[in-house]
Amino acid sequence: MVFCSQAFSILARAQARALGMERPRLIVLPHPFGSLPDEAVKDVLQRGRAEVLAVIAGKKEAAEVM
Amino acid sequence: MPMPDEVEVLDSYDAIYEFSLKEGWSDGLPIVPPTVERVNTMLAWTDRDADEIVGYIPPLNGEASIRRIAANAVMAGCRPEYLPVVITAVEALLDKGFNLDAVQTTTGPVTTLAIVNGPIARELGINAGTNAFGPGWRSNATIGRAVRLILVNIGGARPGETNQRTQGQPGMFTFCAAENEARSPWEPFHVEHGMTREKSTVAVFAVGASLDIYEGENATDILTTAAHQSQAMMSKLCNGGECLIALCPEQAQVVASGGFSKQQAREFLWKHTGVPLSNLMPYYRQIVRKRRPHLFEKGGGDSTWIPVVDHPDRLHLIVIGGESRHSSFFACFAYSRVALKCITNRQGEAVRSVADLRRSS
Repeated sequence: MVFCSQAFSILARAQARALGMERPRLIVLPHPFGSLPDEAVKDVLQRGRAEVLAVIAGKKEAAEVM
Repeated sequence: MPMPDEVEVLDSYDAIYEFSLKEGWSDGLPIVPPTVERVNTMLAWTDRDADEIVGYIPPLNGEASIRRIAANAVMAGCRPEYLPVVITAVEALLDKGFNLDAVQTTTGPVTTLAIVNGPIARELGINAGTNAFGPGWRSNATIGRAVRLILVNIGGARPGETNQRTQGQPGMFTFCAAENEARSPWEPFHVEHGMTREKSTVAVFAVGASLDIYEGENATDILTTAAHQSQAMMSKLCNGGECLIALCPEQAQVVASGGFSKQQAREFLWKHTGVPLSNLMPYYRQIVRKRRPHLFEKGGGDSTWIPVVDHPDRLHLIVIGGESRHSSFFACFAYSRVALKCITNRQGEAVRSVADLRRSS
């Protein structure tokens, strides 16, 4: 499974393919993500909780959490 | 898509240029066509097997064989005798501490700077003096360009796709120079890092754009000005890492005449770089707390000193350039460390001359 921020979604797919994963399970987060305060990180993950869990459970191939 | 080993293209300057652009093999400028003949001529200047794989270049783990490195060196316009330097640069880029994967994929304005030391730098005429970071010297221009083409064509870091630099920077076209050992008052960079003067090396730094360290009447002026440049770099304050200061010969001589050894200069710089936490805006304060928690181990008040780098040894000094007093301060990418490799033969023994590596025809 691949977590990445929006700016890196093309890279994430390309790198996964290069490593032999043709269809990686992908969760795309808003960019920038790394500099967000902790509260903002929790907000993002709360908003996207259902989508993220669906990807983890294999019910969806990819999710965008914005 | 990885570069194929051979393609057929119409033998026309315009057709080859357009083809290279369409395939994404060019940096936007015309390439020298890597014909079989040119690549074989290039390969004659290494004693290594053409199919030897030096390593796998991220982000797409492309195979960096000696032959592919040579092909990109041809495309860049390198003379064949530059090949050993290009190969050594690739070896340095693949050093684990350099963290090439992160350097290739950051959104920051980072490029790779190759600094060559030792007799081979002089043998190949790699400029260390006036305009060393600028245009005019085939060696500087093409070795640096070969490195960039390798990172794109073998590593797969294509602008707009896998390379999402927000703006990028001009140093991404080419960035290579030699240290001005003849005019340095101190030991050269490679000697400082455990090599003898007779060995030749390539050091690679992941650097942002430079700030001018201007003038200065005495040693303290010059070092303080350099230190103050670092305080403008919010990315360094937030993330730490390393810095590179490329001092021009005049300023280096003034600093040394002021009684500073290279180590003493680094320690002075380190003490004077940085700001108290209270100087940063609230948004940046929370980033520093998250990314450099070790700075707050003794408490986290607003007066906490935020040095640009964690230790004086993370400040690198080289001497480069010509006349007058302008030096460069570079913030290095926070998640990469300088890597230095010796130019060797296939047995790993240092060579004094690139001619020692040339295959007899």
